Amino acid sequence: MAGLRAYLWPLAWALLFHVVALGLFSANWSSPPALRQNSTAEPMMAELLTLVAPAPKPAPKPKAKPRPAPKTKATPKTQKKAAPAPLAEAPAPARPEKAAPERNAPPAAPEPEKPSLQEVLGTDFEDALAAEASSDGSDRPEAVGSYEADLMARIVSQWSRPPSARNGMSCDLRLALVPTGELVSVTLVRSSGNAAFDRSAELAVRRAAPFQVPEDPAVFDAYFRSVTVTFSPNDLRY
Amino acid sequence: MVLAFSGRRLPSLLLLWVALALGPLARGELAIEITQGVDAPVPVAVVPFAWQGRGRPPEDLGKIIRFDLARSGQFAMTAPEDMLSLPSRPEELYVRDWRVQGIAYVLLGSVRPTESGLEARYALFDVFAERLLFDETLEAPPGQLRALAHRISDRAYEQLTGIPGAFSTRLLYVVAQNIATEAETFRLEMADADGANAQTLLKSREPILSASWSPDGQTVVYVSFETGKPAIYLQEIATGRREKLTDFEGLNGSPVFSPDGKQLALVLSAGGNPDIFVLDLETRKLRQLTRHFAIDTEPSWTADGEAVIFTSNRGGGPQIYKMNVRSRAIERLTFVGDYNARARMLADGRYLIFVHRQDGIFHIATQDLERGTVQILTETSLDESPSVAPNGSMAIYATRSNGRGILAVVSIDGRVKYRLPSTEGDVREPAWSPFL
Repeated sequence: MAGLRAYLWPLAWALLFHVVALGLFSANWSSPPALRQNSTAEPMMAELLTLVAPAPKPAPKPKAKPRPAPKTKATPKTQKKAAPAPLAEAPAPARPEKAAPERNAPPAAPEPEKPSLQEVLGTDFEDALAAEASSDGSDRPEAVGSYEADLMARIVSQWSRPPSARNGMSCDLRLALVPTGELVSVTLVRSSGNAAFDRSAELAVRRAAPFQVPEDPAVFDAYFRSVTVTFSPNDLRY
Repeated sequence: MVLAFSGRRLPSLLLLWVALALGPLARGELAIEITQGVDAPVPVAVVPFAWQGRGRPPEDLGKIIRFDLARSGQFAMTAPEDMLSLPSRPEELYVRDWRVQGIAYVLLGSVRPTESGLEARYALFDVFAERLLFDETLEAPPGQLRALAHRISDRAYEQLTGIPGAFSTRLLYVVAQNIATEAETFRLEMADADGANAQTLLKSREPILSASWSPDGQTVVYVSFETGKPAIYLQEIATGRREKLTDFEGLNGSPVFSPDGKQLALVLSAGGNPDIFVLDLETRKLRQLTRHFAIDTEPSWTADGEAVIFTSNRGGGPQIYKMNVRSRAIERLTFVGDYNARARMLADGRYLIFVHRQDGIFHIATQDLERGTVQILTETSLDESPSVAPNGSMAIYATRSNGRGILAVVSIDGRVKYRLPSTEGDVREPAWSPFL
């Protein structure tokens, strides 16, 4: 118990960080949570649905930390808005990353987190909110959308479904890319239950590679280092 | 979780917590959903098989497999001349040789004569994933090289499509020669699914009609006019033993085995006009199924054997009906167009394939029984007698080309079509065998 006191400061930092995070989430909550694009120019283009992958990760943390919670309540005005946050977490992620220093762009090891955390805390909260509001709902660089569309078009044009494929089948692949656009690995993260279908999706990705990716390393790291693609045909006869 | 840790472990947990909180923030990771595709043929290379016996090989296994897979329409085959290397074992395969050409899968192997016949070792390699999908051996009796090749095709097809291959199946059909002359002859023939190894099961000066298979593929039934009037015969393929089942007054037609092989549905007109009957092959008892003043004909069974579907003009023009063999409850299935006939139900019970007339032209069409939508599969004009492959992927039918009857095949989704190499004479009334 005595040892616990030694960690009071880190704990305090962590709590503070949460407050900031919650504030950011809630600030963003009022904006449309996801993009839904439909390319009319290209008939082959599939519906583009951006579900934000990282959402599940932050979700458990408020639940998992029952102790800090009461203290958090005591903090700023944003708290009330934070209540519906779980839904809103989606679009938030990119913003603080930009607020964080550019040099720290690849957020790999836990080590560099500490300074960046302080810097996050150091930034003017109101400014961040204002920037958030002015970004017109979308917190992603505009270019991301076109690269995303290109990536998708390439995959669509290579996807040849086996005759056993049926509407309603669905599998998820995680693509690991490098900044030159080459594909490092494809991982089947959710199978459709039909091996031939899963393989057709994997083949489509491998044949579509390499991809066009943004040159800005920060944007690349944020959006294209890891891409999750869901294959769920809705244009089949069956 | 929070209360359980000791003081010593706290820092790492705290760090982890921060990392968890930051990790997702730093990454906007894209998530994309793809709902369409092009369904272009997948590029596949079948390398000529190495022959490990003396002298020259009887035939290239790889070539037979290549034709099989090409016929399915699912694959774009690479010609051997275009291959940069000709490996016959997976260890000899250089991924780059195939990847530069955009080939997705490579099938390779070798054959060697053994004391008991032939043994093939074959492997399928996924070029882009650099992964061996299978590496197996298969044996066959001497002289069964083509059968061996078809088995390998079946294996590769199933691996790549998720549907069992039907390359090792056979076809029945009738060849008519010198029609309307003195020398008119009819032959009931059986051939491999690729048209090879044709053999004559019956030759007659009188018409042969409506041949079909028993579910075990050992026996065929057909209508023969050899006695001057129609009669239904059963014939064992291996022995040639024949048996006359019915030769009633009037029409004896369209015999079809029930899925369990114990009964035959057929058409008799002994009662005055054609009706559907069921013949029990054990007891030889005949049961009348339909009883209607209209013409009821062309019966076939649903996959579960619970019902018979047939063509009837009881509603005016010919349409498809379904009757439960026990309750005799009847249901009309087709409503689109004024002519729908000769229906077969697909094994999934959802699709019907039949002859459909539109603007005076006869097409092969399918109907989705859940949604009622009709899709026309064939473009030719006098298409008849569709018969579905046991894997449900293709249907063979009779059509006309340059004034001659020929056989053609269309995939159930209508995307793939091919014609069977036409032999001499008029070819008609095809029946695709079950899995053999």
